[in-house]
Amino acid sequence: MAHCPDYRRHIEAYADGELDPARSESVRRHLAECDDCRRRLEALSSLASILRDLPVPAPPANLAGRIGAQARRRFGQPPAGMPVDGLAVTLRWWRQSVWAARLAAATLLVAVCLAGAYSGIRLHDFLANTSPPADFASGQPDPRQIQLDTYTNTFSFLPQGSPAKDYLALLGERE
Amino acid sequence: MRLTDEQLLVHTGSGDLDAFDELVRRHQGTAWNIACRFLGSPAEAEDIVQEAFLKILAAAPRYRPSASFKTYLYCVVSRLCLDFRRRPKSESYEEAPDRPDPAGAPDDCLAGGERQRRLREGLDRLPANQRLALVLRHHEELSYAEIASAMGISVKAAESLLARARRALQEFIESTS
Repeated sequence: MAHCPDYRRHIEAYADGELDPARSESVRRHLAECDDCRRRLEALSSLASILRDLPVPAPPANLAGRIGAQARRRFGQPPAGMPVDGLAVTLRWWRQSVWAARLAAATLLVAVCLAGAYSGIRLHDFLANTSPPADFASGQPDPRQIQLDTYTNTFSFLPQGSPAKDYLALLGERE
Repeated sequence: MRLTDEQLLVHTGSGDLDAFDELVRRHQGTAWNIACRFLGSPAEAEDIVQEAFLKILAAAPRYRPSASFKTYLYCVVSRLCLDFRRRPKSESYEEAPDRPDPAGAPDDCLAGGERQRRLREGLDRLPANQRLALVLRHHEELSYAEIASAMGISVKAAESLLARARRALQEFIESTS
């Protein structure tokens, strides 16, 4: 059988429930036989008990309200109904997102930019290389105007002043 | 549906201060108990609780729900308590344990009882990290691993702090009884 010092260093962990089941059982058997170690355990239990019973006043009734008010003063909040700044929301989303979501968003953004640039180049080339109908009086529609109208309609959802709208307007004026 | 603490903190990080209010309502008691038991002064405890929640709010946009909110809260409150004791001391309960209080100490964390008075005094004499380990173990019932995580130390160090704290406290109580 192990001597007391071998067990004594485990008694606190035993009292705190930190021993694995095998060691805990071993300490429990030793305690049944050893008065010194049992007294040590009782002293620990007594200390734990008076520590637990140490009274603490309840938190001030308005503590949560004061913290909330300080939070609003320090960090502010847009008034109800006011749209939150889109750039701020985007930046916050970026900070909070996992890297995979960031990568997907960045890839999508690059793909949209490349597709837009490619479409613009195609449109520009088409308008530059296509001749208008020789005889306007024939009533033949101008293929360049048809193409331009198609693009203008496609991007009709864009707000006035966006680069794509400006570009199409510029091409239209040139034609 | 009741949101979890972690979901509330994510909402808080998106600027939802109502979610923050709910977190404060749920956990102000825990933060208060730790700070008040550690510091022994409700006025100082109130400062710590406010500072802890405002720190959590400021860091909310960077929060990743990988650990439970409560673990995070223990960590923030513990560090603030230890930092508070490292600051140059103004008048505090710890420095003036025998300060007379004409109102019968209504604000004291201690509420009567010679044994409790001695215990409070013994606690105040402990080094801050030992006292905090005792508070986290006996009042919040944290495991050694949780204490270690909250205090930013190893599990072995947490166990050792607890052992030294209990020994010192028992010796103090025996010497004064």
